[in-house]
Parts: sequence; C-alpha cells; structure tokens
Amino acid sequence: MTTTTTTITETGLWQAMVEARAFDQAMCRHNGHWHEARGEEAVFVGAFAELGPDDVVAPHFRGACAVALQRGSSPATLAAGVFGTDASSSGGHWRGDICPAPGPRSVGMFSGSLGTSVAYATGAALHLSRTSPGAVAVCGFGDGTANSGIVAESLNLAAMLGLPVVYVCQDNQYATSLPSAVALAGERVSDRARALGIPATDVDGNDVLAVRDAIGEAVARARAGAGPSFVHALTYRMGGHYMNDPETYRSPEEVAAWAERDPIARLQDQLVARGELTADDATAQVRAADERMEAIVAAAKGASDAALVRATSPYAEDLRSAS
Amino acid sequence: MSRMTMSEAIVAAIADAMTADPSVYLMGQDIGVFGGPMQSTKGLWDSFGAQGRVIDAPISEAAMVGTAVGAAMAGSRPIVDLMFAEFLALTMTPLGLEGSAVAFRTRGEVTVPLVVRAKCGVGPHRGHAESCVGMLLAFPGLKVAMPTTPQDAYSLTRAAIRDDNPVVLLEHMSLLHGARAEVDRTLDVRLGAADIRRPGRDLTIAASGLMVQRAVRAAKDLAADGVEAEVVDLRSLAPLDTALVRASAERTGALLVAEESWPGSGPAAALCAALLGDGDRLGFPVRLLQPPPTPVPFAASLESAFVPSVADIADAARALHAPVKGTVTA
Ligand SMILES: Cc1ncc(C[n+]2csc(CCOP(=O)(O)OP(=O)(O)O)c2C)c(N)n1
Ligand SMILES: [Mg+2]
Repeated sequence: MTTTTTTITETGLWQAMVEARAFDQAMCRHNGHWHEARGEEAVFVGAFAELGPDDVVAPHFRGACAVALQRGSSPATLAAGVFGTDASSSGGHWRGDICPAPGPRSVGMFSGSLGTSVAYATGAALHLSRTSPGAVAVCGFGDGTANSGIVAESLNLAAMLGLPVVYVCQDNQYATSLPSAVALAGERVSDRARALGIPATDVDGNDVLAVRDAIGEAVARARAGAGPSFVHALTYRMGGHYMNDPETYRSPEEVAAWAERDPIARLQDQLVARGELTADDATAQVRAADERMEAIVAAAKGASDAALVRATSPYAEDLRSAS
Repeated sequence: MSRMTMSEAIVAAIADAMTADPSVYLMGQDIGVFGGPMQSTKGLWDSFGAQGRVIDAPISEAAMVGTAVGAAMAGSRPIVDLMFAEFLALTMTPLGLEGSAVAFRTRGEVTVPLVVRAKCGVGPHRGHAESCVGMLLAFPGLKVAMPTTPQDAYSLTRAAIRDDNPVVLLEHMSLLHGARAEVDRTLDVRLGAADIRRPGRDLTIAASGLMVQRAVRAAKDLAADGVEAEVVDLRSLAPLDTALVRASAERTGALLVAEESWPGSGPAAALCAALLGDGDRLGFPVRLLQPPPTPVPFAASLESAFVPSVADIADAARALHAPVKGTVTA
C-alpha cells in the first residue's frame, strides 16, 4: 500500500521546481527543438510530487522530463534521451523529451500524437484496480489535448468503471496559437468531467501548494476506491510553444502580467517570510541548480550518437542491413 | 509565371481555388493568425479569414476529417490541413473506410470532394516523419499525391481540390521550403501520372518525395561512372502510374524502387504487385531499397541508417546494373 500522507516538504517542492526550471532553461539554451515549460512548474511538480513507486504516471509532454527528474531519473540520462545520443535509455530509438523514462509505472507519448496517453493512463488504472488496490494512475494533459476525442472517451470509461485515476488538465491557456478560452467551448473544461459525475476542482496552477492539495484529495479518493477525479490547473506558458515561436497570437503585456505570478518566486517569498529559507540561500541554490544542469545539458549536447547503430537492440539487425 | 517554393505553390493553389470556388474552405490547427504550421497557410487568413473560410481547429483530428467528409457530401469542397501525416491514423474511419467508399456505394450520386494536407518525412523537424502511406494505400478509392517540385505542388494541389473524391496530399518537410522555381498557374497535371525527372538508358529508379531528390543526386554520381539512370517521380502513389514505370524499365532493362516509407505495404510493394499483376513475366530485374520494418528511430545516426541515402541508392543502382560476378543475392 502506498502512503497518502504528505511526504515532501514545502521547501522540497520549491527545490523540485528550481531543478525542473534549471533543466528546462538549459535545454532552451542548447536545444532548438525543446518545448519550454517555464511558468508551469507548479502544475507538474505539484501533481506528481506525492506518488509512490506502485503508482503510474503519464505526464503531459511539457514538463515530462521534470516529472522523471522528480521520480529519480538522472538528468544526464534524461538529457542524452532528449538529444538521442549514446547514453539515451531508449538506445536513441525514441524521443526523450516527450517520453523520458518509460516503464510499467511511467507512460509517455510513443508517437507524436497527443491524447493517447490519457487512454493509456486510464488502462493502467484498470490494471491497478485489479492487481494493486490502493494504487493510482495520474495523468497530465494540456488544454489543447483536452479536446481530443480519446480524452472524452477515456473519462467516460473511467467513470463507468470507477477507476483509480486522476486527470490533471495543465491549462497553459494555449494550444500552440489557439487560446484555450476559444478552443474549450463551455465555461470550464472541468465541467466536462462534472457532466460525467466525476468530482472536479479548479485550482490556481501557479500555486504549487494548491495543486498539491487538490491532487492529494483526488489521489486519496482514488486510493479509497471512490473512482476518478479531475483537476483543472490554470497556469500560463511563459515561453513560446517551441523555440523561436514568433508568438504573433498574444501580446507582450499579457506575458508580462503572468510573469508577476511566477510559481517559484511565489513559494520562495512564502518560505522566506516564514523563515524557512533565506533569500541568500535561495539565490545560491538556484545558481547551483542552474550551473549543474547547464554543465550536464551542454555535455549531453556534444555527445556522440555513433555507437547507437552498432548497439544491440531489437532493431539492430534491420538498421544495419538498411545502412 | 512566378518563382515559388513548394510550400508557397501549395498556398497559391489553395488561394486560387478559394477565389474561383466559394465552396472551398480550409480547416486546420494554427492556420489562423499563426499562418499555419511551418507557414503552410501563409496569407490565407488575411484573404479569407473574415469570410469564415479559414477555420482554426482544436486538437480533434477525427472530427476535423469527419466533419469535412460530411460537409463534402453536402456540397462543400473542404481542405483539411492535418499538420502531420502521422495524425492520419487518427482519422481513418471517416477518411479511409467511409469517405473513400461513398462514391462507389452510391454509384457516384454522392461524392466526397475532400483534400487532406499532411506533412511528413525526415528533415529539419526531427519528428513526425511517418507518412502512413501504406495505410492509405490499403483503402480503395483514396487517392494520394506527393509533389516534389513547385510546379507539381501547384498543379497537383489544384487537381486534388478539383477531384470529386478524397485526396491526401503528402508534403515532404525536407522539400517544402527548398529552392524556388517558376510555376505556371495554367498548367494542369493529372492525378495518377508519374513523370520522368531525368532520362537515362541504363536503369530506372522509381521514387517519391525526398527519394526523388536523392535519386537524382545518385544519378549524377552514377553518370560520372558512365551509368545513365532514368529517375521516375511517381508523384501519385494512388493510383500508381504502373504503365510509365513499366515502359521505362523495359527500355532501360532494370528497376530500382527507392522508398522512405515502411516496407511491406508501401508504394514499393504496391508498385511490384501492380507490375506482376499486369500479367507476363517481368522482363527486367527489380530491386527494392527501403527502410527496415521498424518504427522511425529518433537519433540522428539511426535515422540516417534508416532512410536510404544518396550513396545507398547509387550503390544499389550499380549492383543492379552490373551485378558483381560470383556474388549471391538473397
Ligand atoms: C493529435 C495531435 N494533434 C496535433 C498535434 C500538434 N501539436 C503539438 S503540441 C500542440 C499543442 C498542444 O496543446 P496543449 O495540449 O495545450 O499542450 P501545450 O503545448 O500547451 O503544453 C499541437 C497542436 C499533436 N502533437 N498531436
Ligand atoms: Mg496548452
């Protein structure tokens, strides 16, 4: 049985967000194909912070590496996966940005198509309900992905079968250029879950404590056998959809207004005010994380991928004969 | 005449069709003020957005294509910009199983004049390379075109929009933003017609998409050795222009098919089946050069091992043209 009590301190949550951002920002500097997650850390750190080893996670692609970090993956291995170099855990066969640490307890995107991982998390919950009472599946997906048909179908199945799954909509207010305010018809995306009888909450997705608490309640409900829940976390994507996004679809003023609500600064201010962290210590920790991730990511970028073709893998023969 | 990239030519073809025919509309993700993924609809929002004919879609591919099939049956001529061809897999009941069957099942009383645009191929994007073309070829009635020049990009897009049945337009990401060339907007190209990109007498290389460009480069290498390869750009993957390929191979005496898509059920397999199905024993040897039957790998080194290169094509052509005595081929 996995625990339902709080296992991570608030300082620990702050550190996890700082680490996540340090990795993310190093990738922005070194990888033109990266999808920046700055500003959304409270959602994916808060949502996946308190899970046990028996639980299944299926994070949204934006922030997936941060969830893997939080669950113990080494940043060097993650970075090798993102660049597709020799130390990649998939042997270079698949993208480490959207599928960083796949395993029986961690699901990613196995193509470039959004939405399916929500069904996979739901299916994993079906398995857990039959084999590991008390374990849960938590899955994240974007506001854009919420409009994919397979998400609606999965929610209904989960409600019908009373599955132990928590759906977390990481609403950063855009699907590339399309605002969620336009694309998500109806008042709130969480109403879609309510219509199915799934308990749903709307939280401030820039407040990691609020996210953690909302997920905690939902997870407790699932562990107790009371079925699925839905958490809608409203946040903001501070960077472009991808590197060099012209961002013609939003105003610099809008972005600046959200900068004021930075999730890391927000918790840091609280911790400093409570005397649990000093401003100097915070600055030193942020710098240390940045320097560490910068070194790891820069080294990973320069690494070779030449050994992958020779490596033993289910496909090595085929790849050799094709070369 | 004006000079355009393939991407610009496709946009021009859509703009011309939308100007000529009010029943044409466009739906796709990020095709509004954003200008389309990789600028695939640049300028169309300014020209046609206010008329409600450029519709920014949510991430709902099955419904994007499903509604387009419905609108097409009712009388519109929709174009769906599906962004990437890998998303075709999300749309196959409305597109492949049903949309492509409607004309047949109604004796032509009801038609589905629908175009689905889809980007594919290895290239600068480092992802979304899958063309899913083998899956498309499995459905009777579904046409698939794949231009490799700005002129064909324009003319095939116009032909696809004019066609009364569903047509998938595969747009190779390594070619879309390549060199500009003159485009004659009055030139018609029929769907289903291949084209000889480079004439040659010693062997025929049939290819589509990026493989055409690589085959032309390989042909230049081969010419340095005195081997003249004829390069056939299939252009249309369904229907296939088997007659042109056969005539070329009969003249040159050998056929090499170079493909970027999966083996098994892709254009190469379809071409071989069609050639054999034509009846007589083939009077020329055939060799297929295509990726192994694995998912498209991610790492750059694996990707280049996966997709036939210029050197792979040249080597295969040499071996086919002048087999080394004593070697055993499997
Ligand atoms: C099925 C599918 N359709 C379209 C895309 C192309 N695409 C990649 S990311 C993205 C936006 C996703 O929006 P959201 O789910 O809100 O996630 P965010 O990018 O905002 O984190 C789109 C449309 C895709 N990957 N998969
Ligand atoms: Mg979003």
